[in-house]
Amino acid sequence: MSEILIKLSDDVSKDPIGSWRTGDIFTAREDGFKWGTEEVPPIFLVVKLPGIPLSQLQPMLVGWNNVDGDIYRQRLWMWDGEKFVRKSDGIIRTVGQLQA
Amino acid sequence: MTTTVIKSIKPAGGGDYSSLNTWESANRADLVSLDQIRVAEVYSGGNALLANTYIVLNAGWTTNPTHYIEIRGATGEQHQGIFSTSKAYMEYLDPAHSEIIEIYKDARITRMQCRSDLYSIYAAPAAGHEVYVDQCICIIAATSNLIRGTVYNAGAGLVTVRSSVVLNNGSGGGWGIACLSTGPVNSYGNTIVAPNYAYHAMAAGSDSQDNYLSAGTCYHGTIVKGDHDATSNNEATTPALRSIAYSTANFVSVTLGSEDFHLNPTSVLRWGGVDQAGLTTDFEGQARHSPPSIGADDDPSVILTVDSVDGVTASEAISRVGNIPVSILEGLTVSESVVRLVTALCGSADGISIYDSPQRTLTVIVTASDVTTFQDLASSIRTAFLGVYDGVEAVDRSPEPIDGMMSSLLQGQKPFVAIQVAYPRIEIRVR
Repeated sequence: MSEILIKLSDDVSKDPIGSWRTGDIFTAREDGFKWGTEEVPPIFLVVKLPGIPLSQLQPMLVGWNNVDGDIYRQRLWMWDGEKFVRKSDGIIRTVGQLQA
Repeated sequence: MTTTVIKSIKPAGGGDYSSLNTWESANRADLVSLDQIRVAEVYSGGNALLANTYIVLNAGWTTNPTHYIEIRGATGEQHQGIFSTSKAYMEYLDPAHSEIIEIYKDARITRMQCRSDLYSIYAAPAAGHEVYVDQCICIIAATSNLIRGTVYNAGAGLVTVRSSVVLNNGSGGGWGIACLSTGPVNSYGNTIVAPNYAYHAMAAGSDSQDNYLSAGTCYHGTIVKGDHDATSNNEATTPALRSIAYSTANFVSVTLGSEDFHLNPTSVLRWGGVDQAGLTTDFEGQARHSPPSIGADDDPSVILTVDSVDGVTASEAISRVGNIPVSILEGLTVSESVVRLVTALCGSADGISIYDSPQRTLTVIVTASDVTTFQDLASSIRTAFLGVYDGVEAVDRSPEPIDGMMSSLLQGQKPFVAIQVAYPRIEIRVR
């Protein structure tokens, strides 16, 4: 079982380089990892993914580089953040963690 | 009054944040309006950066030189002068593209280890903004084949690098400290090693002092060379500081991948510098000697705190000193400290006795059975207690001058040197 940490809100800036946007997956960890005490809503959310090994999540953690090799976005892939947040908003605000 | 807001970064979990990325993302703010300094204290337990990422201190931050961002190793989690992934560090290794941090605002990187394949620290502060790199180990790894600077200023503001190791092990002919824009990069008390240019500064006014530089070309550009810089070639201003070998003659290890830039006690770099404003500690956070050593390391002085020594031999006394602050003995164990102290003091504990008095006066008496040993011991003790002593009165109470004692010894009598040190609290600094 794995857990992922995702962004629940865009950074202050819309500057894509170095910014994290809603739905971006910061990282994935083994189940039971002690996330930071400030890695909680409304900025962050932990999603538990039963049955998904950590290795399968690695492709979701690659960056989006431009043709020069510079980072354009922190992550190439993202959780469907807007829909996800909208549908799970009540749970997020009360629990702070989701189990898929 | 400016408030300092400190958050813990624990890659192994259990802190305020588990990575610098999440901290940076959540803490962007106008520090000037808030009247704040924001600090990320990094702990050991893994890379403080998330996989395939670096951090950018730019959009969302408002800073000035007194309201800045700081990333620093947490106390007890900081490097000990040698790169180690068991200490606080940030790293992104990717020969195709990788740098650790881009800094466009006022920021300080302190007591951190930074390793990458491109730029270890890329700074581009605007005019009027300042970046400081203090007591860090900045490395471009051997996997890099790019021509880049290990610490690089691409902006119009000021970058200052102090008491740090700047090591470019790449095969691409890269640089150590560099600036190719209009902002200078000052370098004080650093050990800089690179394949091409050690210090490559095209901006006017880049200032240099107390550095050790080793490269094909040590200086390139418009650098104001310090007269207490030392170079591996003949570029140093002061002739005596030229051709200082990048070898174990001066450093503990220069083996690729396991470099250890602690100075050898016999190195000419030791205490070969000149006092410099702001250069107060070496790369391990130890107080600099006055005058300082050239390069990132200062020492190998040992500070021993003795609270009670009462008429036992030196080795016994030292072994009984259970209150040696190990932290100021560079992380050595007590037994290692004893060996180092005794060796540094006189090469042997034999023939030394230490007496303490109720008047808080420490007396060190040296006797020996032959002239050579006696001279060596007496010289070491005199140097240690009278020549290097700081802030405590030390008086030579020997019964007769050293030459007279030599005569006594030759005549079969047992001479001695007695040095009395009056102390409020003994802090013995030994070469």
